[in-house]
Amino acid sequence: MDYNENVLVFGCSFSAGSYTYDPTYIMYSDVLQSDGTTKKVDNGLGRETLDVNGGWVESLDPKNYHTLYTVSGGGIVQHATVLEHYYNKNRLKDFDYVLLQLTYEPRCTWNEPGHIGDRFWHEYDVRAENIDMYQGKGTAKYFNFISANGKGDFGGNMNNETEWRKHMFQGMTNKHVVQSCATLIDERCRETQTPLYYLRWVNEVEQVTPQFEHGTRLDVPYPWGVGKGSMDLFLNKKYHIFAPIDPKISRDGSDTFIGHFNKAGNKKVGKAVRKALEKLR
Amino acid sequence: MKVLVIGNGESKPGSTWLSTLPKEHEYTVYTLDYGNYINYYDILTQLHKDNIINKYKHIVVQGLNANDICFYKFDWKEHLWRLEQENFEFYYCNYGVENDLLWASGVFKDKTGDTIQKRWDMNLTNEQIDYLERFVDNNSMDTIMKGSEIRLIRLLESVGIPYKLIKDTLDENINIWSAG
Repeated sequence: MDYNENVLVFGCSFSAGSYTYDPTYIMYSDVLQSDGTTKKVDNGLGRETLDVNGGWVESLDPKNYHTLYTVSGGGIVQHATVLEHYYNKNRLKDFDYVLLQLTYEPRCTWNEPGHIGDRFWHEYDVRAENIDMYQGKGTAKYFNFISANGKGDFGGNMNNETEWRKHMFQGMTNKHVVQSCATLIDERCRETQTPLYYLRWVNEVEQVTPQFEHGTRLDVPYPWGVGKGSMDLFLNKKYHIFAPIDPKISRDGSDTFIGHFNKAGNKKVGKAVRKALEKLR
Repeated sequence: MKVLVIGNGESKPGSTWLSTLPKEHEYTVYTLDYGNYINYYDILTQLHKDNIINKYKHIVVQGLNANDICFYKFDWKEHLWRLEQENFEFYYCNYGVENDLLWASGVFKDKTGDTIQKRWDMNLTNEQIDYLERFVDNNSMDTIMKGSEIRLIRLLESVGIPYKLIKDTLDENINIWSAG
């Protein structure tokens, strides 16, 4: 089939597909113990299953072809790494535009060294014909600075350490790392004259939100969050997966499992993004 | 002419390469040990915000932009020591490396890592050290460093003061006045 436009899309788990509540599905993390051994611990993240259907991207213009990279738990650093790969291969210019789904940063989720092709798997089972999807493999290690307790979340492997993690969280370096990657994306798109569009998933403070000098922010409400400026999908059973959880096993001690959007939620997001893009293309 | 120099440990007081610079100019030198363009952006931004930058007619950025990540205290500028030496005014870290956390390849397997661990009471196991190695041993480092260079250059261009990036301080033909 001939498509109108060829689009490169980046996102996190919110873009990986639609989710279904499943209390029997428990996810485990390998957590280092003080004696050096590893223990499998319920990380409180399961309880929903992913249907790899392209998520909100499925509701974009079906006449366009979408190459979609999603990295669960990842962010702009991974997106920049993949985009740079296309740039170095002189293939970035083959796309009509780049579409970026931002999430809350800083998310320093870094893969093992090596070729991009070895760090992402190709999803062959995506139902939408106009989506070519790649997901991050389990070679990543997480240094997310977004945990509620003000210290970096190191995948549960540094539970006994506090002061130095707070020091890292409170400094500016991790934010500069994130913005350096945003600037790289911005510059490569400018150089290749590839339009860059982005949507902000959540109303995060400017200080930790990637900025783009040459990119265009899509005029869509925030999919994540409640009230003014949001899509009001959050904690709405029609669109969002959430459920009670034992505080002892939740990541931050809260008693509600907060999941992702289901198919209906993604459809809402996709329609809004499609409408915003159509105004600009 | 007043010249601003931002660099790493190679631009500390007493450094050889600085002593070769023309004596007729005045130099203000900000140094962060192990710092790279990620950190220099921070310094330049602060000097810009504080409206200090405009008194300089030329900017020199020294450093290789090595694939390291160095976390400095948020309020690093409050911890700088000042030292005047002839035509140089230095601002450098009060405690040297004592207030930073450095991630360089294999750092926790040598003496620098031992010092950092002691300072921050880290007591890392070998498995934790291997986990943290991913900070610098990953498939994004080159991208991050390229991005940091583009970002720093964009900032330098926006400041509008002529600048020079010096990568090799051992180069006998260093010319801080040529463009870029």
